[in-house]
Amino acid sequence: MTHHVFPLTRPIADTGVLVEFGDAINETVQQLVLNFDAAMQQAHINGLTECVPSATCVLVGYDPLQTTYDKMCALIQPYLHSEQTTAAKTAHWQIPTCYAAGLAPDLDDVARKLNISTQEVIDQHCAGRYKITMYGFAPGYAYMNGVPKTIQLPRKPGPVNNVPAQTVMIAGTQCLITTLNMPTGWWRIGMTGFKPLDMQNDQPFVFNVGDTLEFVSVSEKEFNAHSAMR
Amino acid sequence: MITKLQVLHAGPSISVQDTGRHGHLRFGVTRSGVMDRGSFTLANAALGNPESNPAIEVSLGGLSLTCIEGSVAAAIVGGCFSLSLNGNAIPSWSMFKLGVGDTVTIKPGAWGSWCYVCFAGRLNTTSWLGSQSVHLKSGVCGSAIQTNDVLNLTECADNVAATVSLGNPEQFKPSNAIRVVIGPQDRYFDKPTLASFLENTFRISTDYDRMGMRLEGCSLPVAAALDMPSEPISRGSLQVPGHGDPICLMAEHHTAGGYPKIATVISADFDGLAQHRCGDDIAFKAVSPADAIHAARERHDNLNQWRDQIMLNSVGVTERLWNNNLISGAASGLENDVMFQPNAPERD
Repeated sequence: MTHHVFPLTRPIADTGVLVEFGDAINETVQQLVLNFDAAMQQAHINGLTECVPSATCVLVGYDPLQTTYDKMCALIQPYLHSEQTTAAKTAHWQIPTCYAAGLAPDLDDVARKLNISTQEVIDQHCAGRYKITMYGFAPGYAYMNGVPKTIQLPRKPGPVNNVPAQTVMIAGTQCLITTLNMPTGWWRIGMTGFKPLDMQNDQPFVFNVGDTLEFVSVSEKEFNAHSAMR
Repeated sequence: MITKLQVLHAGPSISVQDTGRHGHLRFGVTRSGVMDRGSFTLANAALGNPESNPAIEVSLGGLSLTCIEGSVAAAIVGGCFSLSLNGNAIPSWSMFKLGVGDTVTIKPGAWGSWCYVCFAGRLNTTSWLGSQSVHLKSGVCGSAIQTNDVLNLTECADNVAATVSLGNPEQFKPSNAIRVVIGPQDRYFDKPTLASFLENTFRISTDYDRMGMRLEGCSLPVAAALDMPSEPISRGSLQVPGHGDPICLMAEHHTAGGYPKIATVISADFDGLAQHRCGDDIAFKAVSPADAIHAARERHDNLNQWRDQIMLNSVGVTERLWNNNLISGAASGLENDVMFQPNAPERD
């Protein structure tokens, strides 16, 4: 593969510009993505429909009836090297999480595979500092990076059905709190009473890309206290 | 007026859909909405509805509805399905009235995978983020319509005197040539693979639903390691997983994924692609983003013309049928349909 100079713009049919800030996930690239995304939230560009950030790029959607690919590429130029001062205000969250056996069906398997105790898995998971890199898969599924090396496991060979909402699960470097009853091949190590997706709310999505999180172990009694602290 | 419709039979993957949820991809919310926006637009236009009034999207599994309370006008547009009203065949694109005891039955016809049943009324289902579109995979706004379900409609109007043909579906028969813009991850494929993508035909496999369409017949090996970071996905993306069969991502696609995308189907050709069936052969033609935008605008103008025509014809015909006091269900077959053929091909 040839080497490219980032940021790169690529066409997505007649509806999008994919802006790539790098080809590997790292802090620098992530910050460039967040800066650009934040700047675009403030921008008023004719025909812009939405911006979708991921770990290394941002999809800039547009309406082909109102603008063109070339126009969009030109109009987003001023925002490509946006300074951090324009970055969205990100929050830090503490997520109360219960790791009791009944709520963590894969915790024993994870400990066994890693050859450590379940308490060590819990301690390590709580020691991790996580950052939301992107949403994906299903409404409100916020992908976080930052699972400590000591408890990283590749995802399971096949998915398990009917994993309930608010399950805390890990795979590789990533961690996720489920928001709906969906199948998953990730390791289910706990549950939280906190809801990252509140469908009744006008602002249903609690997290923003770029937010940081940590998990705090709570007893089964405390499990239903919906107290995530900002 | 309130109308209640009982589902006598519902095949799989039949659901309430509208134009979908806009602008929430960044929170993992796929746009969803109808597979064939053009047909959906025309069905609503026939009834004088707002453009995004929710409809029932009917799959090849077929649907049969009977009215158990009230009365409502309905319009069906999309593909070339086989329709009957109280056992009598009616044109594939029709507008008619459903009163108590009336039964409409939709079965697969000559071609097409999806049709839209729109009502002169509002389907009483859950709305989220400005859309009543059901997300089948997650259960957002309900689930697939099942046999024995009762559908509730409010604000119903029923001023259609007789069954009206809404036009000749043939003008909407999809092309086998599907235009794409190459990329964004064409660099993951070597030159011979990129060439074969455009030179060969693909067969639509049985893996075709609202999420995606798997294409067979020409495997596209990925030349680089499958290590790209997950990134946003668009409707029409042709992603190529390890097995080498491209999968076109449809209305209910995931919002992010880590498989390379060789090309993206242009918006003007998406409705047509969605109307193809498993077993159909298609071929891809590469165009520039500028050409794709031109095609989108052309498609938009054409749809507007068809919409104006369908509105004129449906209203005009309704009045004529009122005046002539014609009987419900007596509409002509498609062959004799001269009411609406603005772009119909020449006949022998």
